[in-house]
Order: sequence, then C-alpha cells, then structure tokens
Amino acid sequence: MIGLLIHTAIATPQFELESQSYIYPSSYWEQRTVGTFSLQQDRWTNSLRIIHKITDQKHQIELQGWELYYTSQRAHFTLEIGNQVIRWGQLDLLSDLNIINGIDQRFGPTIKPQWASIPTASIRLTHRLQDWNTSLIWLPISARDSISWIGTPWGILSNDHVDALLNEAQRWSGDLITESLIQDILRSIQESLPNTSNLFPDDQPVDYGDIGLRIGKDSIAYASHIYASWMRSRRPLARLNPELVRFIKEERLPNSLELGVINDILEEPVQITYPRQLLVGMDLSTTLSVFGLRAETCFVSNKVRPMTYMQGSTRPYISGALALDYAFDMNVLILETKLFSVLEPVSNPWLEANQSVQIAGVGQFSLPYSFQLQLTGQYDTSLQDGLIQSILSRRITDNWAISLQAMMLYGPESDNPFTYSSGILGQWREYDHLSLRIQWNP
Amino acid sequence: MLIGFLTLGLAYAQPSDPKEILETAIEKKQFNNSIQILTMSLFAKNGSKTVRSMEIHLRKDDEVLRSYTRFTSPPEIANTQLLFVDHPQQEDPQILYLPALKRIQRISGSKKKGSFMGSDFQYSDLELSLSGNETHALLSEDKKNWTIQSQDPQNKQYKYWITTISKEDYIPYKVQYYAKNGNLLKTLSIEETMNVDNRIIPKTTVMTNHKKGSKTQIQIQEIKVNLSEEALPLERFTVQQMEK
Repeated sequence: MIGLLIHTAIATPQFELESQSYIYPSSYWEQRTVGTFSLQQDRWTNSLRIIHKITDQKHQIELQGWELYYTSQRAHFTLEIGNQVIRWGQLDLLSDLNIINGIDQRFGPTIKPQWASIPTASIRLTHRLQDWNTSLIWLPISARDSISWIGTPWGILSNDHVDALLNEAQRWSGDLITESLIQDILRSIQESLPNTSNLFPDDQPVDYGDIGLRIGKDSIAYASHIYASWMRSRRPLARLNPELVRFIKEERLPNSLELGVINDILEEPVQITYPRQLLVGMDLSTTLSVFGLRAETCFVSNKVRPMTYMQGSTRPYISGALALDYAFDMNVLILETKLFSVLEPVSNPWLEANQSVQIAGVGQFSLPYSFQLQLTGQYDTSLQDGLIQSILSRRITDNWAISLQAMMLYGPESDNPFTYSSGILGQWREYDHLSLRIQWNP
Repeated sequence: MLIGFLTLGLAYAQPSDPKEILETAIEKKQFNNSIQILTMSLFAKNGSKTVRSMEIHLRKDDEVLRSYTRFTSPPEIANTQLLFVDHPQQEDPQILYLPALKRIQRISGSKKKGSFMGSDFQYSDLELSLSGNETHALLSEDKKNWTIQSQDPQNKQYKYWITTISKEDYIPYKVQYYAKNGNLLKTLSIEETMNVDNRIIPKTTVMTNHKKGSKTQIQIQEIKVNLSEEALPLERFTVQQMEK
C-alpha cells in the first residue's frame, strides 16, 4: 500500500507549454514556443520537447528527444543507461567541472537552466556505501556543444559585424566577381560548421568514447568529490583556412592567378576538431555560518582556446571557484566567482582571456501578491563584458504563469568580428531585449 | 513551540498543569513514523490561490527527527526535495535538491526559522517539540477546552501565543500568535480532523496571517502512520537517496 502511495505521486506525467516573445531594439524579433512533456516512473525517466521558433526571416520546428534513460538498482549499485544529463561540480554559472554534457548555446543567455545541458547517450554505474559513492561514466559517442555560428543574435560571429565585413570586402582589390565569390565562401563556411542541433547529430568518428570517474562523500554536513575524465572537448576547436585569413588580414580578394587557393578555401574554409583532454578536479559543498559554501577546482590538459581570426589552439588550464548561498524565507542570494589561468598563454586570445576573474550572481525574491523577482548578473574583469537580467514573474493560477524579462549586455565596441577584444557577452551587446513569457500547464 | 498539526493523536489523561497538557499533546501522542501526501494552498491578500502538492516522510529515532519532503506540483517545483535531520543539540543544515540544476543546496541550520516554502507557516511552527525555554499559564478552562498562554524569551518572532486545546481529543484547534508589539500576528485553526489508526488527527489546518492578509491551508490527502523501520529505512533520509 505504501508502495502504491509513492508510485502514484511519482508517476504523474507533466506537460508544460510556454511561449516567449523577444523584442530587440533593432528590427529583429523572435517568437519562441516550447512544449515539454516529462514522465518519471520507478525505473524510467523520459522527457521530450518541441521548439517552434519564428523570426523576422524564417520559422522552424525542432523536435528534441530529451532525457530517456533506464535506472536499475541492485544492492549498493545503481546503473543508469540512456540519454541523460549528468551533473558534475558545484557551481551553477561558472563551473569548469560540469563537462559531461554539451551546452546548448544557440539561444545565448536566454536559455532556461534546465535546458542548457544537452542529454547525451551514456552509461553510469554508481556504487554507494553509506555516505561514500563512486560513479563511473562511459559515453560511447562524445557530447558536443550546440552552437550558433552566424545568422542569429546569439552566434559566435556577430551578425552586424559579418555584414559590415562583407560590405567592406566588396571594395577590396581583386579581379574576380567579388560578390558571388564572397557569398560562395560564406555559404561554404556555414556548411562546414557542425550543426549539432539536429535530432540526429552529424556523423561522428567511432572510437572508444569518453570516460569519467567521480569518487566522493555526500553527508548531511558536507559533500566533497574528486573527478577525473578523459574526454573530447565539448567545445569545437575551429581553425579558419589560413589562406582565407591571409586575404582578410591583407584586406584583398584573390585574383585570377590564385584560383587554386580559392578552390582550397571553398573545399575546406574552416577545420573543426574536438581534441581529447584530461581533466582532474575536486569540489566541496558545506555550510559556513549563515551561508551555504560551494567550491571547485580543476586542471584541464588541453583546453580549447580561441584566437583571433578563428585560429583555435589548445592549452593547459587551471581554475578555482567559490560560491556563497544565502537563503531567507523564500528568497535566495547566490554569488559565484572564478579565477582561471591558461598556463601557456595564447598570443592573440579571442573572446576569452588568458587569465581572468569572473563574477556572477543570482537573487530570487518573493514579492507581495505572488510576484517573484529574479536578478542575474555576470561580469568578466579581464574582458570587461557582462550582462544584467531581471525577470518579474507571477503564477496567476495553478495552470497559468506570466513573466516579463529584461536583459542588458555590456561590452566594448568593435569593427572586426575576428579580432574582437572582449568576450562573447560583449559580442552580443547589441541584443539587449525585452521578452514576455506565458506558461501553461494542465 | 506548539503545533504538531501533522502528528497529534488522542489522549485520555486529564492533566491540569499547562506544560503537562502541552507535553502530553505533543510528546506522548505523536506518530513517530509516517508518510503523508499533502496539499498546501496559499491564498494571497488579493484572493489568488496557488496549490503545492508534496509527499512527506517522517521518522523519529530517540531525539533525532528525520524529515524528507518531495514536491510533486506545480511543475516549476516538481521533484524539488528537502531533507532535514534534526539533532536536538546542534544546528543541522537543510538539504535541498534542485531538479532543474540537478544539484544539492545546503541551507545553513540557523536559517531554518524562516517561512516554510513561502507559506504563512514558519519552520518553527512545524517543530514537534517544546524548546524548554517556554513558560506556560493556564488562562481559562471550561468543560471542552483548555486555553494556555505560552511565551519564550528567546523567541524572536512571537511575544507570546495562546493555544486552545480540546479536552476530548487533545487537538489544538486554535493557536493565536502575537507579535512583539502585542498585535495578533497569525492564527492557526484546525478546521477538519480525521481518524487514523484509531486516533483523531488534524486533516485540514489553516494559518492566517493577519498582518499580510494571506493564509495557508495544509490538507492531508493520504497518510500512513506508525510505519516500521523497514518501511521508512534510514537510507531514505540520506543525500545520496535524493540524487538517485
């Protein structure tokens, strides 16, 4: 009877539909509607989501099989097999340990936290004995970040700057038909870049997969774990064709004597790889006076570091991060800070610094009349870019909720997307926006 | 502090000392081990209503009280879990599992005196024992009820509180909480009772916040009491269990 009582509560399917309208200062606008269905039973966890996105240029529908995995428990062992999100590390906003899943970066900072980590096919075997636990993870196919490169507000290359560069290139010297050549090169670049947002991602070479190990203790008073993994980078290492880079730097177009070079560029305008890297790290979660305290540190042997003109490289990397949580009534304040250093600095860093201190914070406040206010901020002291976001929300009834969101992004000006001196948030600085979200659940 | 609205049962003795009455109601007649499915309805001043459903597991071993709560609705808090192991002589942190982040959050023990999940109940209103610092005075007594005034000089929230306890079933049908300025701050009312295992227990409890104009109703939908240790294993009250 008790089993039935619990089962009834757990196996309730959940459906949620939310529609969010984004209004930007420029003429760009976007309407994003997301339907999510999830069901958790004793052994099965599954969820599905459908995204319908309309912009001023096109509309698209995307079906994503989200989590679908099976859990089996025998004595002290738990086996989880399937498409799942596996959380590593303690920090929410600045974690370097949370690397098992790829990150969905196609919607930039507008994505909800629960949708940021993309589930990946994996097998996790966990052994628990009292407060101690050891988990071994194997991913047959490496996970990848989902990235928008060009053509949306949240691309790695700013739309406006790419347009400006293309316009400028029309005036560059060269005796070939410039406009069609430039468009051909741009199209070739877009086709070469991996599209990781498909329900079935692009083919990947089969190798022995990724492996990760976590050993630690989870008690009431504290939790601490050590981590080790040998995985491919979730972030792509992108290298623009050196000949194309040479033309961009010299601000000229190929001439008729360089047809071979043009063919080379069109054939492989950009090279994308996902290098393997060793990660070791540890984390801690406990309380300190009235605060919750979280910390993590890690070393990565081959961290992907982008350089100007999209000339990526890999470098050893080390970081340490600290978070403080303060909760009172239904209000929560979270402050996270991270110090990192690239041990062999790259000569021309692009969108990421060699060393920096990053700061992020979230405040959630319950207001009168069932209103809730969430304030989020993030800032990089080296790159001097950041964002501020406020969300005012209210659950109107058990079925309906509404929220109004404002986001401001900050960063220095730039005229060349390939040499931008600040970070990705600064790259997106022209996409301050307001949005209205309506949520419904039956 | 008195409430124990989740666990009080029948008593047949008729003590006359107010402290003894309260102790009899709280300590001798509570269910140690239970699983309950509750709905918590929050009514705002403007009349709007939100409902939260949860499942609570309680286990008491000697003086150690273990509590595990899992929210089942609405969607934005579904599968949020709260674990609390209360040792009488220490500040124990609360463990909160946030499903959206798949992460455990530790909340400092000294903060557990705040609002219970945004409701009009304080965590301290839900405590199942007297702190030992209270003084009690029997204000009145009639054929049906005792009316007892209690105060705790260390209590920062209330100046005093007045409890009306039924002589028939030892249920505290009304508790009035007074703020430090002497104004009536909150009133707890037990509006409905139920018979479980031959005991009368509160089924519907309402806390009215007179200052905010809001109220919170907690209603038991299902309850299993006096469960064996096998039915409520200690493993259920561990951090590892929350992450499974």
